Formats: sequence, C-alpha cells, structure tokens
Amino acid sequence: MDVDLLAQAVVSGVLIGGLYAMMSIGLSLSWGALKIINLAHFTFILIGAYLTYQLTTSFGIDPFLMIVIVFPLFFVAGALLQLFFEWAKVDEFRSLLISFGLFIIFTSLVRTVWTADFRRISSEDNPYASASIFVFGVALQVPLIAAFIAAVVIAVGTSLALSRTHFGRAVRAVVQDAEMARAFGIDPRRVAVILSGLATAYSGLAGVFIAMFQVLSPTMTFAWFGIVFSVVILGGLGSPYGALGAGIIVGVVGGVATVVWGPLSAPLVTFLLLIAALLFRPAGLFRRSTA
Amino acid sequence: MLEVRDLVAGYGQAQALWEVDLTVDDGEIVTMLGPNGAGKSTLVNAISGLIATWSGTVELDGRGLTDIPSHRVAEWGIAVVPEGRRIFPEMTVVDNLAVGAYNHRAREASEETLEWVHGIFPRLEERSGQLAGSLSGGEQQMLAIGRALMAKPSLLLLDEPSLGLAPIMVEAIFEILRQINQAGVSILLVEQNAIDALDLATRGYVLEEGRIVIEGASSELLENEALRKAYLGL
Ligand SMILES: Nc1ncnc2c1ncn2[C@@H]1O[C@H](COP(=O)(O)OP(=O)(O)OP(=O)(O)O)[C@@H](O)[C@H]1O
Ligand SMILES: [Mg+2]
Repeated sequence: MDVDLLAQAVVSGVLIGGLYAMMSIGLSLSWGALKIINLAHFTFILIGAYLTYQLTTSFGIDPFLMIVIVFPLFFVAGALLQLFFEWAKVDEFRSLLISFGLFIIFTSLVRTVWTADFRRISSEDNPYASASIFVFGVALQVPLIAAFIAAVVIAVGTSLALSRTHFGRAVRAVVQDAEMARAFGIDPRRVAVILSGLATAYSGLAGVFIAMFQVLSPTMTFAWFGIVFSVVILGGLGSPYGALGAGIIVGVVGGVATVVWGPLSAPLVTFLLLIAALLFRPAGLFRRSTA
Repeated sequence: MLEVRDLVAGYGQAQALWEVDLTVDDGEIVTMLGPNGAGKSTLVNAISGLIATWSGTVELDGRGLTDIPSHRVAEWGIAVVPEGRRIFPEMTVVDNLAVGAYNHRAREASEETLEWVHGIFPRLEERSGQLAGSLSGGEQQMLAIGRALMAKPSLLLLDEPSLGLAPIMVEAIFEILRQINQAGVSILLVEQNAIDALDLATRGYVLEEGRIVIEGASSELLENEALRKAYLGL
C-alpha cells in the first residue's frame, strides 16, 4: 500500500471532515435543541451553494465575500422557518414529514431556477478552486482549508456561546424544562427562533464552501444524507464539538477506505461505523452538551 | 401586594380551581393547606405563569399578571419554587442560579444576589461547578430556593419545599424562609406540614376540591376544630 497516498487521504479526510461538520451542525442543533429533525437543512446547503454560484457568476463577487451575504440572509430564513414550525405545532416526528415536504419543494425550486444541468463557478470568478497549499508534500485545496477553519470557528464559537452566555444558558434551560425556563423570564419562542436562524446560517455557509470546489446539481443532496446523519448521530445531538469530531472521523474513515478498498466502500464503512456507534454509544461518541 | 380574584384554572377539560380569592400583603407569610389533589399546585402554577389561567385576575402591586405573556411574570417580581423542585439537572449549580437571574431587573444585580444566596446556602457555593442533577435531594431543594431568590422576587411562591426531606432539613428550610422574609420578601407557602407552616405564617388558607373552604389568622386556624382533625391529626 502506498504510504504517501494514505497520508494524503488522512490529511484531506480531516479537512473534508471540517466541511462535513459545517454541513451537520445546523441539523444537530435543530434536532438536539429544538426537537425538529429538519431535513430542509440539506436544501439550505444546496441553496447556499447555488446562490454563491449565481452571485459570483453574475456580479463577479468574490466567493469568500458570499459568507457575509449568506449568513444574515439564511439567519432570517431560519428564523421565519421556526415561526412556521411553531405555527404548525410541529413535534419531533411530524417535523420529519413536514421538513421532507420542504426538502422536496426547495429541491424542485432549485431545479426550476437553475435546471438540472451541472453548474460550476468559472475559474475567473473563482480563483480558489485550483489553488492548493502544500503541507508536508501533501497538496491541500484552499476552499477545503478555509472550510475547515470556518468549521472550527463555528464549532468553538457555538460551543462557547452555549456554555458561557445568557443566551446559551437560556437554550439549555429551554431544552431541559421549557416551562421552568419561562417562569424565570426566558421566552422559549425567541430562543428557538434565534437558534433556528443560527442553525440555518451555518448550513448556508457550508453551501458557500461547497460551491467553491464542487460541481453543483439539484440532486447532490442525496449523497449528503448518509454523511450528515452519521456525523449528527456519532457526534451526539446538539453538540458542536461532537459534530466537529465526528465530521473528522467520518472524513478520515471515508478517505482511507477509498484508498484501501476503492471509492464505493466509503459510504459502506461510514454506515458500519454509524451502526456500531448506535449499538455501543447511542448518545454519540462524545458527551452531549446541549441537553 | 398579591391579589387573586375569582381565579379559575385546570388542565384540558378538567377544571381544578373554582373562583379562588386570595391575598398576600406586603412582607407577609401566608400558607396554603389542603389535602392531596385539592389544587394547591395548580394555584401556585397559575399565579407564577407555569400554567394558563381560565378566568379571574392575578394582580401584583395593582398590575394585572393575567394579561402579560408568562415569561414576563418573573420580571414583575414573582418567583416560584415548584413542586418537585424542577431544577435544570444537566446544568451546573451556578448556571441554574444564573438562569434564576435571567430577567432584566435581576440580571443587573446578579453578583450581589449571588453573594446573598451563597450566604444563605454555603453548600451551593461549594457545589458551584457540579451538575444539579447529581445533588442530594436537600441540596436540590436549596438550589430551587436559591434559583428563585436569584430572580429578586418581591413575592416567593413555594410548593411543598419540605417534601421528602429529613426533619432536621425541614427545620433548616423553615428557618431560612423566615430569614428570607425578614429580608423583605413576601411568601406564599404550600405545605403538608400544617403545624410548622402555621407556626411560620401569619395567615393561612385551606383549599379543598379546588375551593377555599377556610381562611384566617394562623392562631385561629390552629384552634379550628375541623382543621385540627383533618390536618393536624389532633
Ligand atoms: N398535569 C395535569 N393534568 C391533568 N390533571 C392534573 C394535572 N395536574 C394536576 N391535575 C389534577 O388537578 C387536580 C389538582 O391537582 P394539584 O396538583 O393542584 O393538587 P395538589 O393540591 O397540589 O395536590 P398534592 O398535595 O398531591 O400536591 C387534581 O385532581 C389532579 O389530578
Ligand atoms: Mg401539589
């Protein structure tokens, strides 16, 4: 076996793991803290990616600048979505059905606007796609490095916010006993709206990075389901650090499996890992932190 | 300060309170007695906004509490120590206390209030970083009271704070309630421990099947034949 190839697989697995984490933290927060298994997150990632494609292509906006556009935009969308969920009185199970409906609607919206053709930001508008940095002789794509850094910032920032701030304590109090939280002045609805906004903004950001180095198609979300659910469950619901750790594990395991047994083995090995984790560590590999 | 008029509340279709009238004056300790299932917790929960009221009014210092969203009640000066304590088990002791001081009025003063609460319950300071769910029953009760005090209430509602505690601990809690009251906090105390409660309180009410059936000064209630039979076992 080629050691260099294996090293490359491990390093890029770690980096892609950062992206996996960013794709998963939104769903993990939504599921763990709001008790909403929000499948629409997959389409938020998708729309974030297409929006990045469109604005960079039409107006020549730097892809990295899309971060400051997508974040507030998706925050508002997530906040509104939570208001809709509350209005529809969605519980954990019904959230799966309703958000699956949203998933279908948003996916066909994307297909209507951008067609089923493959889309990719041209290299003039996106100089980062082909840029690499060499670390220990291993070539690392710039968008992946940036995504990894962003994922670490999001995981650390969210985790600190949950553990140290008034808002974070309010979130945890609402998760544990919403009525008591309310009796002490916390408005559970406001907490949920803000949290949903954040979760959605994170998913949108993942889309920005994906647009920087991948070819977009409306059906690409299907490849994400296995990865994201593995990361969310392995990481423990509602745990940002857990998602980061699990993202890296899934990234590395997938990368190494690809080198050793070929690309088709990666999802298989990931799912075996997930099943093993569900059997032996049902609350995730790491302790859950929000609940 | 607290005026409850014609309060009706319940769960789903089941009514649990019928036109309850009740007052607590400034600086007073008032106790609420009654058999299991009488509606005592329902009353406390309705006043503190934990459950919705069906009709009637609850006023604190002349301001109506039934028309504001329930998460505002804390800011207006009511804090609750609910039945079963209901601390946040997966949060540390100090975070539980911080949630107590969440309302804006209390938040500004939270450092001083924390010192005061630690003075009353030194145990809570020792256990600051421990998860609340891993505290002993007595410690959890201290935390529930401490959390309520962090809200800087003018009226403290307590629902059977002595339940499940050793006699010495019960005595300690009653002593602490006296101390809290002397610091200017009015108290409405639901208790099974009728003698101790009437000893502490200036006035008392007896609730049966959702209605107030007896009310009066503690000394009068201690003399009341029916009440002595039913609650004092005398
Ligand atoms: N969550 C609930 N759902 C439906 N009915 C309830 C609920 N909680 C209480 N009840 C009913 O309301 C009535 C009053 O109950 P409540 O808990 O207020 O009594 P209590 O006086 O506090 O009794 P205890 O001394 O046992 O605590 C009872 O008939 C009870 O069965
Ligand atoms: Mg009760």
